[in-house]
This record gives sequence, C-alpha cells and structure tokens, in this order.
Amino acid sequence: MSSIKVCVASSGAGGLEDSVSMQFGRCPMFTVITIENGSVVDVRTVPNPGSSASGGAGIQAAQAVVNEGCSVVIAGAFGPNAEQVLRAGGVEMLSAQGSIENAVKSYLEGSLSPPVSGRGGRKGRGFGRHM
Amino acid sequence: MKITVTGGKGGTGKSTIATNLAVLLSAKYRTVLVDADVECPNDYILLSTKLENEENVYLFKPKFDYEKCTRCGLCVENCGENALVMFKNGYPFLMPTLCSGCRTCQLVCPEEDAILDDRRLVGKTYHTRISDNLHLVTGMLREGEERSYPTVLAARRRAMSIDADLHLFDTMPGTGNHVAAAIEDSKVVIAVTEPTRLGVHDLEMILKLLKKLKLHAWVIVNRYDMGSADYREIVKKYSAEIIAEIPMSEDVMKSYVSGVPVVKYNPNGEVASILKDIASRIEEVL
Repeated sequence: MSSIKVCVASSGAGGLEDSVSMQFGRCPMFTVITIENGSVVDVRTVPNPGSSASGGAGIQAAQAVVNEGCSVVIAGAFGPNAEQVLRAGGVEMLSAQGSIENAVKSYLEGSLSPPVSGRGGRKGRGFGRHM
Repeated sequence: MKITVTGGKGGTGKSTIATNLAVLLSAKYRTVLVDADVECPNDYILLSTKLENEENVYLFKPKFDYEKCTRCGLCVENCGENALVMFKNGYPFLMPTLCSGCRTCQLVCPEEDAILDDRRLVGKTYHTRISDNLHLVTGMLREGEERSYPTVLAARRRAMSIDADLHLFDTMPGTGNHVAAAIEDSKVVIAVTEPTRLGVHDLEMILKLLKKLKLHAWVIVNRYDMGSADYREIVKKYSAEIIAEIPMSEDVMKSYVSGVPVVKYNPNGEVASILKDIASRIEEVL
C-alpha cells in the first residue's frame, strides 16, 4: 500500500473547499492531504509558520512542509527561497489555481505541471517581492 | 574632522557637491573623500581617476561541523533572518543570501566549535591617492548583494585609518542604516536637495534622521530654479539652515560631461563661487 502526503498552500482556513493560495510562503494555512492507492484518506490543516515571519517566510514555510513529511506541495507560485529549501528537502513542487478539491483531482490525474522557475530572476529576495 | 554630504533623494547632486568641496578644501587641508554610495560609487568618475588598492569586504557566515552538531535546533530557532534550515531528520544548513552575518547562531550554540567561521564576499573598498592632499576611499557593493551596511562600514574604517584634517563623506540616497553609518560622528552634515515635491519629501526624511542623531543640518538647494516646491517650511520645521541655493548651470553640465569638477572647469563661474563660499563655511568649523 503506497501512501503519500500532499501539501496544498491554502488561501483561507484550509480544507478541500478552500482555494489554492497564489503565494506559497505567506499563505495562512496548509492543507495536508494523505493519499493512499490513488484516493484521499485524510485531510488535515496545519498553520503556516511563515505567514507571519518578518523575513524568510518561504524558508519557514518550506521547512514546515518538509517536516510534515510531505513529498508534494501545490501552490500558485513559489518564491526563490522556498524553492531552494523545497528542492533541498526533495519535495516536488506543482502549480495550480482554483479550489483545493479540483487541484487534488488534477494531481491524481497527473495533469499538474511544475511552477515556472526563476520568477523575478533573482534569488534571495523573499518578502513576496518576486511577484 | 568629519563632514557628510547626504540628502535623502537620489540625483540631487550629492556627489557633484562632495567632489567639488573635496577639491577646494584639499588646497589647504589633507582631505579624504569617502564615496560611501556603495551601490553606485562614482566620485572616481567625476574626478576622472581610477579605483586603486582593492581590498575585499567579507561578512561572517556560519560553517557547520556536523561531527559536533547535536541537532538541538537552537541556531535555527534563534536566527533572526530565518536563514537557517533544519529538516526533521537532518542537520542545520544555511541559505547564504539571507544571512546577515550576525553570529547569533554561533553564540547560542551550546557545543564547542560546532559552528565555525566562514565568510562571504559582499563588496570591495579602494584607496586612490589623487594628490598628496586628496585621497579618495571608495566602497563598492558586490553585484546582487542586498546588504550594503557592511561595505559602508568597511569603507568608513579604511578612510578613518588615514591620517587627515578632513574626512568628507558622500552617502547613498535614502535614510537607512547605510546612510546613518556614514553620517555618524559628523561635525557638519550637508543635505543636498532640489525644489521638487520629491526633493522636499526626501529632505524631510533625512532631516528627521539628523534630528534623531542630534546633528545640525546645512541644506543646499541644488538647481533651485528648476521647480517651485516649498522647501523653506521643512527647513524651518527642523531648525535646519539653508546655506546655499545653486542655480541650474551649463558650466556644471559641461564639467560633468568632461569629468572635471566645476571649480576647476570654470573657477570664476557663478557655481564655482557659490561652492567656494560653502568651502569657507566649512573652514570656519574646521
């Protein structure tokens, strides 16, 4: 039985009804979805410690995702710092918009693609300034 | 003695005024001009000289000895910049671009020598001897580097180690710590502005900073005939003093293009004579 944890950056309180946050690092909540044999078996919410960080939000957020044991993370976009940490933690990054439920469906269908990398073209900016 | 030329807004003529004053004052005094505008230092261009005697500016960064690290996580917890990352089953590692070099990680680490000294290059300083009496010290930030403060400090240290009658600092625009580091301990601070809404707005910011630092400000209104924004009220509000109003001038433009300070380009021109008056005011406090 194969089990995988998918983290979705959520724009509100989290959960399948919530929508995918455009911003990974500063989203308020993570929805952590456990998938076994192709179906959702558990949905939990975890506050994003990066949402209130003065700087290095993406780093804190990414660290939390790795520590949750997630191997996939879905968000609208990822900052350069978050990207570095997630890559170091071996987490697959995927880009999606709209409802979390649809994003998870698309993920299970294998139709999500990785985010466009190098957004803003600069590393270490953080503060969401890369948008 | 230390004098600083600053002003808040960029492009008001700080470097033009600083280089001209340095040329004038170096006729009598051993002068060190310090180009602390480390993001784009160009006093050396205005003086048609070269950057010489390069020295590197380094900033501390932690280097982990994973044999000694117990993975207690204190360094990660206490990093004010969130520059350290530690995964559940891993060891702490550094995101170098975020590190401010504060050494907190090293200080809080309970293990001996688990966090060692490493360093990264953040900028350069230069020392150009233009003449016996006029030296130029330049700070230059490394491309892409976000933290200008350490390079300003390094330029300041290098400049202050040169024995001279006068250290004349030319700062970056703005009012951040990179500007404050250049201004600190100045006997006289000259704020160069222009009569535009932007100029007046940024003048107020720098006058606020000077008030905090308890420093008296002399204001030079450059190109005072280019706009009509009211700078007098702000100057009055902060008990500063307007010491000169410089008109727009073809001399200045031509001298700028030719790379010869205007006091040399046209020593008898209107702007040169205003600059000479400013220099004599500085002499009075020297």
